[in-house]
Amino acid sequence: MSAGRVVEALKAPFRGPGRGLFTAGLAIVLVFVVMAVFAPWIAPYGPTERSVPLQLAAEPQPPSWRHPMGTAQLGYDVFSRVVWGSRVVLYVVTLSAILSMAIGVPLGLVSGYYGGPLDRGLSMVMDSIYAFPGIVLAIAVASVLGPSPTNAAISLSVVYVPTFFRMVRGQTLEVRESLYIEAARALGYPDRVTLLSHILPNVAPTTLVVFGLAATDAILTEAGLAFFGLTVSYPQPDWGLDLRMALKDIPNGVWWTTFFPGLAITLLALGFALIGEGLGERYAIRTER
Amino acid sequence: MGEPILQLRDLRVYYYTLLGAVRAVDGVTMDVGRGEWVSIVGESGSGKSTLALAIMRLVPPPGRIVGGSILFDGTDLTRLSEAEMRRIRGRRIGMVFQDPMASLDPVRRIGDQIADVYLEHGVASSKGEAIRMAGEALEMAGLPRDWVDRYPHQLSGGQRQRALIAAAVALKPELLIADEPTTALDVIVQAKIMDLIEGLKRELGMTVILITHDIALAAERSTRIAVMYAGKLVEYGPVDAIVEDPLHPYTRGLIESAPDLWGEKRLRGIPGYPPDLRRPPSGCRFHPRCPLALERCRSEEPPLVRVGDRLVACFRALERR
Amino acid sequence: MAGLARYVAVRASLIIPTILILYTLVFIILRVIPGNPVEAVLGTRYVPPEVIKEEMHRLGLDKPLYVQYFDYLWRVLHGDFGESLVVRGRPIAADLKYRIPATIELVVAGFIVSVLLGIATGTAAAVRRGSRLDYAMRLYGIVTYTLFIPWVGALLILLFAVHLHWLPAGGRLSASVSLHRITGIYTLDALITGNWPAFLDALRHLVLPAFTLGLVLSGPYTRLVRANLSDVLQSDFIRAYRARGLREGKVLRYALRNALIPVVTYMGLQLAILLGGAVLTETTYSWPGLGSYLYERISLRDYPAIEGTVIVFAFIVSVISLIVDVIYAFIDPRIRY
Repeated sequence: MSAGRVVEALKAPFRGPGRGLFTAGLAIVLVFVVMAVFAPWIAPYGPTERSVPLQLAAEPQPPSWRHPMGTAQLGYDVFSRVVWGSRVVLYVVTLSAILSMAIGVPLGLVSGYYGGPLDRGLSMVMDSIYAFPGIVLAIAVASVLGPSPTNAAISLSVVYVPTFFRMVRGQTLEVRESLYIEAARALGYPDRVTLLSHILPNVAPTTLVVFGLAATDAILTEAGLAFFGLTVSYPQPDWGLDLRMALKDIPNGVWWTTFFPGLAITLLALGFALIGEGLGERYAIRTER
Repeated sequence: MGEPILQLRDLRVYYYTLLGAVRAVDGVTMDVGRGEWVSIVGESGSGKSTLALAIMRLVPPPGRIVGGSILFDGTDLTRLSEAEMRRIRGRRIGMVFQDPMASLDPVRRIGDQIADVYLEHGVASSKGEAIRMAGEALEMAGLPRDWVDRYPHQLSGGQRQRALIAAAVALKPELLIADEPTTALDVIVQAKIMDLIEGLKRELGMTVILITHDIALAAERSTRIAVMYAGKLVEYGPVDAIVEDPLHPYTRGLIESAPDLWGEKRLRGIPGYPPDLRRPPSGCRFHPRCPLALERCRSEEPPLVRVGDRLVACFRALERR
Repeated sequence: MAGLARYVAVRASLIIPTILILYTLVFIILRVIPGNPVEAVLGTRYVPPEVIKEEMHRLGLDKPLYVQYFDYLWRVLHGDFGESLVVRGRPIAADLKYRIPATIELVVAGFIVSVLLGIATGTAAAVRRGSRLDYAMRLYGIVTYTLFIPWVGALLILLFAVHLHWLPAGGRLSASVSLHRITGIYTLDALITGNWPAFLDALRHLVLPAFTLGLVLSGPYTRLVRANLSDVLQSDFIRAYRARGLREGKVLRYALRNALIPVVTYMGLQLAILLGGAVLTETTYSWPGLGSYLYERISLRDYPAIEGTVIVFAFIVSVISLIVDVIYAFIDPRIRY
């Protein structure tokens, strides 16, 4: 691919149908990425730093100019924890996305391209994982591996490998039937060359759409794992865990300690959903949900 | 011909698309007498199906009746409320559509679909009675009475069209509109369905309007033929006159391109395509394709005038008067 | 109908391999993946190796994997999930038996809410296709899906329980209400015994969790119903219905019936997601089902309990997919086997 074509491909989502959704989603995600990368400069306090005088630390303090999202127990600044928490979430989700694509995409390509018993076996396993409630599966794996962000990422990729596998396999089957692959075979290109040079570019747009949707799911599942205490241990900041810890504030009418971490989860998930949605509309790809 | 049952007066139906208004029916005036069989003939895109849907007030959005009137038995249908119109549909005017494969609800039994008509119009008081009447309607359409229990996928195309006709004539309507009822069927089935419609017409004393692209089919059983081109009525008259001596060059073209009518005689199509109805040609809409076009045809729209026992909209035809 | 009966029988027999595959999957995850459950249970404290060995032996974890595989399968098939590591001598099966009906009640209620919300929003969008309402409903479909269940739960509790005092914040039944337990599905038990105060109380407890779960998982239905219904509304048989003078309400009902058939196939997949959502919902609302059990036992590191719960989830998923397939065969007359 020449540089010009790469630029064209990169510009494509910003044009045509769905560009509004795509751009909005990308903007949301970028805000969180910036937040994570520049956390030390953006967050006014450290994640586990007492940000109020000792006598105020016992009770959560409502939002104020000094603490735009209020304070949580032990005087933690909620805004700072939301900022620092984005690091864990994005780390887990990015790592799991890389892992599940790195495993799911090649397996799907090979399975769809060669067919036969290997394909049947793999499909059966992938389908049964796919049918299983994702969060229960992730919880099961994470509880065996033990709580840590990296283990959480591994658990999430167990859940999302089948998503990529199924999609790439389906697309590969479709592309394989088309004539130009037949032609490439007839010309005697080795399998590997055929796979990479012909099928991969064709499945790329769908992979991106599915990525957007899987990332949405993955963020919510990561938050679920955090909620179950399977990512970091308190008082390390992670949105889902912060939300869990703040549930006990609810009966006292304290809303800000749950509201803001939860809003962050939903906004980030929405960002990825809009990206997937926009791309789906752009390339007219229908997905299962 | 008797008193007219249907009188269209300057009827206009436009589809409002993003690229401009499509004038699918653009000022059609015609009468249909009680007991007649009138066939409306034209190529696809001539507006004939839209005309049929307009009479039922079922033009799908973005289409709309924008002007003119539809007098049915003296009542202007365009002025009726939706509820009043509903009481006419299915009871006083029945309609049969082109694709019998798609025109039946795939997940409901045939009998239930016909029974709807009796229940909706208050003719049957119970479901059981309605189903029994549906059986009778099926029988009338040449299907076994007990097929009320069948699902559409268990029927062939011709059988489905019979079931649809049964539903359309269930309440013995005064007018039956058949929009290309046999286009999707093979030739032998086609003839049987036309026989059925003809039989029912006689039996129930209905008026029939047949919409078709096939002038040979129209010539077989009609009393009169109306020819539409690009949203306009171009010729309207008794079958024999139209078939044997077409006045409008377009009608002539249609007849010459019909194989059945002249047996093995050479086929000649009409060169060119129907115009874009967002921007119809000036003057006579047929002039770009007309072999006889005059200079005047380009600028001036020919009015629909009486020539003998028919109406025609063509300056060339007027020369013969 | 003989064809249908045969289809149901064949489909029912297919549940055995499905369950076996899921069992194997769970087994691999929980026993083959490196990680020592006993050490995990005992945590970071120092424990003498012989104690660990003894515990491993007690749980049968020192046997070869293939022996463990069949041992555990045999026991599970007989309803024996072993004993809790935390509450010594307490059979896991008893806990699960107590918890399952609560989860079923929540999932079924959440399912009903999600389907109703999805049909209402999707229909509104399809009927007014291209309008502002349509756009709003599409947004609804995207946004609801991205809501984090405990967050929605917390906000609803704040509003309806803490501020308005309309509904309880959690649990299944008020302490003051007594109910004879039959099925364990409290609303059903109350109806069976004609216990109206208990029925209302159980229903009041069910409203917020079911709405939370249903709202978050209604989005896919909104999309599906919108897409299918707008297709169906443009089909010929709808026009034919109208041409026979049918009222618009009736036409819409018949159209929906057609539009919902493909939606049923999605229900199987959606019920699995609902089960996952129930895990978080239960934890948020202290709903004593399988999900909150999983939560408690994970924090207690009660390994056999975790394993048993996940196996039960697998079992429920298989049964649900069976039920959905059978329902599909019943409602679509075109399918005959």
